[in-house]
Amino acid sequence: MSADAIIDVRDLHKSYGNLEVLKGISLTARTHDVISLIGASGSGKSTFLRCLNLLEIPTRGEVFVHGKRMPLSDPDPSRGERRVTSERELREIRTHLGMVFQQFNLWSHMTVLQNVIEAPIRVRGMARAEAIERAKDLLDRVGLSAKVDNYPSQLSGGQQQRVAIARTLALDPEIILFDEPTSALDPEMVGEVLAVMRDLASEGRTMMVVTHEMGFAREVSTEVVFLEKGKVGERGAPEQIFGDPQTAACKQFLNKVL
Amino acid sequence: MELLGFGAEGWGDDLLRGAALTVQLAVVSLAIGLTFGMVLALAKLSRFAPLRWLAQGYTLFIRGVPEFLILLLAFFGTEKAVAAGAALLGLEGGIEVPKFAAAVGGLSAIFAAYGCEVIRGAWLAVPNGQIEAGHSVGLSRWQIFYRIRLPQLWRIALPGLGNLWLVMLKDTSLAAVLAIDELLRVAKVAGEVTRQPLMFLLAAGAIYLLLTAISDKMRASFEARANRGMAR
Repeated sequence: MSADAIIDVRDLHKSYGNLEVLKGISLTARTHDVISLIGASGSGKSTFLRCLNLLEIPTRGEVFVHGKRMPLSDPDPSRGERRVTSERELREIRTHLGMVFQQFNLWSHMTVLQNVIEAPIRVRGMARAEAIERAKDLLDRVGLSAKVDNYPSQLSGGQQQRVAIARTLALDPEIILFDEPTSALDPEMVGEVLAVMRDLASEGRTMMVVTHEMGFAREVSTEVVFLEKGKVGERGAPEQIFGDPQTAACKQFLNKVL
Repeated sequence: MELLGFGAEGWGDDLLRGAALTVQLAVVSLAIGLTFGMVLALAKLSRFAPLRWLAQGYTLFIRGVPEFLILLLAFFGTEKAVAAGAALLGLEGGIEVPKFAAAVGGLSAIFAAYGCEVIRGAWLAVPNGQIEAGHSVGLSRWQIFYRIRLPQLWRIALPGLGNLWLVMLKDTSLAAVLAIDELLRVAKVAGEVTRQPLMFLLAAGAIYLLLTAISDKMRASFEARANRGMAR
């Protein structure tokens, strides 16, 4: 494991009962990497991403963040699901792993501004005035400074997703996990969200993106990982994956979506 | 008409005192019933099966028997229990169960049994994605509960709880059977003494109507507050 690895995933497995969704995936994200995860639905992309911050508990395998092991008990088939061994440690690590969801998941009883300042104040203990100032900067960056006092229900899907990105940025995470960030959007709103993500990539943010936007994956990624049936089917630079895929499965997938 | 007034002959002040006691009964029972209802809802949502069964059995019982019977049980049952407890400790003589406490116990037990279903439904109606978003930014379970779950649960549960409140406000009249001088009992006594039962019953009815009307206004304003930002 190199010193600048932010996330290091080793042999990750996830099963639901007898259904094995992830069958041993290893992956490393280093600073400034933009890794796109592509693959057919059901290939395990989202599950993989959700295992990284333990929204799903992997059945086997380990996740290291900055060399620190995620606080999970050892796998023990006789004792069922693995336990989180330290809630506090987990919460701490989660603040370094931002996550953007397909369904935005903004807190609907809070205004845009309240959504963005919540974690800095409650989790980091930031002074309210400072949190507000930073939130306004972030909302300005995603082009929503006029909407600070609106509620999520008053925004379009694209606007909500940009707020969700600002909410994630408010903790200044070292890596941001995007779980199909544009899949729930009307086509005309996809562009505005991708523009913000491009902007983040160009400033050197480390990102891992589960996406069906092949154009985005091709232009922005430093690495593309093609998942197939819970395994890494193929991985490489975007030019290679999109220009000259090696495996039949990857070729077939790309033929279908491109 | 002077019978309804506040003079020496009038029953107006007695009726008002009765109304005040009615409101007290209802408000205290609401506070206790809501808390207990929340506990019951949590028990029903628990992963621990015996806890679920216990809560299930409780609501099955309360909802299956008349409210009137529950109030009587709250009084006589507690009396027996207290007496037995006292005997066990070797204490002599009768210990009186405060009637007000028994009535509050009965009313809040009923409110909790119905309220817990409303709360449970509201709990499940808060989108799970918003809870996950809370986890993803490192909020603690407790913070997620009171910052994200509770405000939205409250919004969803309000109409249902408002209805239960109206039912309970009127059920306080059952406390008359425990010889508590709440509104309806006062009206009944006044009617008997003055031989004008209809007038006093109508007066009591008017006061109940006023109380429920005020309650409804309050509920509407709570709802308006809780619904800020919600798509209509």
